[in-house]
Amino acid sequence: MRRAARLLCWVAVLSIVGGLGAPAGATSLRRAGLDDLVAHNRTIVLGEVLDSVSYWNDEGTFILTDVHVLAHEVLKGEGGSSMLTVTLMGGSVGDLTTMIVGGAELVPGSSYLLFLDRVDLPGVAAARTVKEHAQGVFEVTSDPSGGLRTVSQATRIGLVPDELGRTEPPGGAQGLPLDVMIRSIRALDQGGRGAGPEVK
Amino acid sequence: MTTLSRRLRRVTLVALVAVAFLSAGSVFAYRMIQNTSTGRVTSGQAVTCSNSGGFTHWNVRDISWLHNTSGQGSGKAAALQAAMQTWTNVSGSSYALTYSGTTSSGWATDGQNTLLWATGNGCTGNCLALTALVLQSGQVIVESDITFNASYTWTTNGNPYDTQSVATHELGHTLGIHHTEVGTTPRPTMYASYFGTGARSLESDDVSALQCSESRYPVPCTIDPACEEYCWNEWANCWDPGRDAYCKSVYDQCIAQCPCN
Repeated sequence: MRRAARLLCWVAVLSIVGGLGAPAGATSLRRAGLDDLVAHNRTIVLGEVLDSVSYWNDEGTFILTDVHVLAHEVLKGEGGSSMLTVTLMGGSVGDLTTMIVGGAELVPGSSYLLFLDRVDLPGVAAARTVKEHAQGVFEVTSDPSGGLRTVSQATRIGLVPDELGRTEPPGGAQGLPLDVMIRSIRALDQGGRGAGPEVK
Repeated sequence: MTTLSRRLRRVTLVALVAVAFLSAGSVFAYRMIQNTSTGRVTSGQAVTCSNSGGFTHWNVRDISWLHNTSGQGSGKAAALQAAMQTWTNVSGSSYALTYSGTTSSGWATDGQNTLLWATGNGCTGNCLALTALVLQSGQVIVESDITFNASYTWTTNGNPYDTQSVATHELGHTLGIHHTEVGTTPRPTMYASYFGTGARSLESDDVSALQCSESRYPVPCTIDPACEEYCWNEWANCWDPGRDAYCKSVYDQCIAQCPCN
């Protein structure tokens, strides 16, 4: 009886754990760890989106959006100016909207930790953008204790497993305290070795 | 006896919770792509089919695709056609995804739905494939393009990354379907992560997503052109300044009997 009870309990626990492992929920992005994000993006900033403007590129082939970000803290790279322009694919012009499924979403008035790099976008060479799409944006939110946390936008879309089979973005659905995130990024940017544990 | 009874009750409760949880896994949990925030860049929200804000959808039945064969696009036609057919075959759906040949056009809003392989287009590094939806007011999809990252190896033999599997998944997005919340096996094609060739075929959750979309946004059919012309001629033969209303009713009755596909 006791053995049967234990077995039933294990079945229940495993079922629940298996169920909770299900993803929450566009485009196919391979999971990047924080080390990967830090190493492969030239600029990392903590900032607030002030406004954005969408337009057709010069060739008239794609709608782009310039997002103006007030950088509160530059954790890596181009720190010369507190104002940055981040160019994203997609946006609305007139009654036409181009949407990148699983793309970065930056809303004016909100704060984010952004991993930025320069890549070619339709009609714009070496544009400063969030090349990792949803993976390159961490929303800064308040937690119940009054602190600030950072949660990856990739938690909304699900990721393709990395070489170790991991699909959860750094910090997972709960995210990480902002100070821990900043320390980890700085440590990783400075070489990582001996500077503290990497946040997966 | 009391201890045993308590333990039995506890075990029963835990078992019931497990059963309820497992059952919940089989409940449909498909989500649709919503875009109500025009005026700013958005990636689309995952909403239920009954969400009051609606979701992205087509209002034409025939959705034709062009294939850019440069780069790794070569040799992928059969895989792409199979992926399209998978969605076309959904019972009760009138959407027909068709492979309309090759093109040299790329990642552009040009009125053509295009599938292509490239190392740019904003899909680099960890991006395997990117889907863009072009919408008009009312969340009506008027164009879609899919760019595959040519930096990765794309196969047609089932090895990662399997073209047909990823294409079937991305084509699901182009139909306005977001990632499902079903995580149990067999996994739906619209499961968020790559899981091999299992994504080539649809599960009931995927099928229900498309059926629900069409049930909420019935797609108008196209009246057979020959029949429509016949009715116009009937109206023209009938028309006289004093018989306008009558001839209009003749025309309407005629059109109502035309095949509509």
